Amino acid sequence: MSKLRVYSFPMIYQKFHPCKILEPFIECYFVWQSGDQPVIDLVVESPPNGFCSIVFNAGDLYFLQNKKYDKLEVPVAFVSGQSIYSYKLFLNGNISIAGIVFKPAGLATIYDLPIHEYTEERIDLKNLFPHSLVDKYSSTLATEQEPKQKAQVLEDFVMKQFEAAKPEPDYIDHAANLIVEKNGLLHVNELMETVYMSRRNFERRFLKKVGLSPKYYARIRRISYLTNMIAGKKKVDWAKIFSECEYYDQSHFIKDFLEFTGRTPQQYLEENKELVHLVDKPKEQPLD
Amino acid sequence: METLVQQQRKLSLKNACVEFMFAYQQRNVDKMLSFCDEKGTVDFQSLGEAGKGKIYELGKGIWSALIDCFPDIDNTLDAAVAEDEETVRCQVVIRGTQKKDFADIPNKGLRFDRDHIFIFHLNDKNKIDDIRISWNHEDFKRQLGS
Repeated sequence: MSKLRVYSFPMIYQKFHPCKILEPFIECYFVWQSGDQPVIDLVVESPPNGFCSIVFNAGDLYFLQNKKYDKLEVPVAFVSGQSIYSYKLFLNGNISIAGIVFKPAGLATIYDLPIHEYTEERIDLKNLFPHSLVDKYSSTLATEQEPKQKAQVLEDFVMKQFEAAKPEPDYIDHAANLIVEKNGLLHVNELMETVYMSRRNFERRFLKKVGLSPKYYARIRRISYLTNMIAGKKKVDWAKIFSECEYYDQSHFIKDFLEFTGRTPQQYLEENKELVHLVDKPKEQPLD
Repeated sequence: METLVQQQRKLSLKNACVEFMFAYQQRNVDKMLSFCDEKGTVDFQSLGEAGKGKIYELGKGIWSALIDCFPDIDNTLDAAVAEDEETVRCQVVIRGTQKKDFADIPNKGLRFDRDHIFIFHLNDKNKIDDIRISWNHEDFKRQLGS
């Protein structure tokens, strides 16, 4: 098994906040770059986080491993649907990755895509957009050196579609964003109080726009919140955490944790290779 | 790397499975069968050998009986994941209130709410030609008071 290497050179991971008009749809833009030396056998892992993204890779090709894929060569530019399993990335050489992280229903609202089809998939952008458009933005992102400039290119990519489609967030966007805001700590019945439709209809529409059922999505957001709380720590008070995350008993907590991360909480704490071990937790910066 | 065609195939085959589950939610067995190959097979794994048969015979019989005995039967599709180019795994929660005896489970008017896994295999015409369904049958019976 690969061990986590300690890099002495600065690895850059920065997040940027979208402009006001895109806030209902975009969580952030991110830019991840290796420093002045290539990386060797770098393994980075992530639990499911509840967000879909569009990612451009201007660096060396890398591979993904999860419960489904043993070693998938990740497309150069792709749409990533909801993850329900933890995944690992295997990187070698130059890292130059930039992406748009969408609010849970944002990708569906802006691009009118059936997001339930993308769950656990990395779909080549050329399956969805004209090749010339993908090539143009891939090339521009490869040319730009500064993270902020790259984020602006990503915003331009979304803005083109936004201006053409003029989408408005609907009740599914609001409900899904509320789940994020409450870190998954709410009951689906609370969501139903503000939507005027049957539960069945709501769940169907939610599945098509977010990729998962509302209840399942809330469970993933809770695990994401929890793993974010423990990221980078060596020791935690588990009893306090499972109480804060409103698990009604320890076995329920461990079952959920195992299902989504593939490990017990303690194993996760001891073995996880999240990016936070290599970079400072990024603060989100404004684009303008 | 997967080709664009392979990726497109995986996306399209999920739809048949999602529509199958939506038809089940509507309690419309004929519509469920319309997504399946007439010669397709089904395995209700938790029932052992008795759960193996043809979709159009055993499958139709069990789903019709479930809808008859649990008239408010409903499901929530949590997630649909393509396992490969021909197979889709659906994580589903099924729930319903018993109104009639079902198989060896006498009616006590109780409600069940259980996770189920449906593994669909599709042929090259995007028709479902095999379904494997698993659930915790002991817990299902326990919830119904049996």
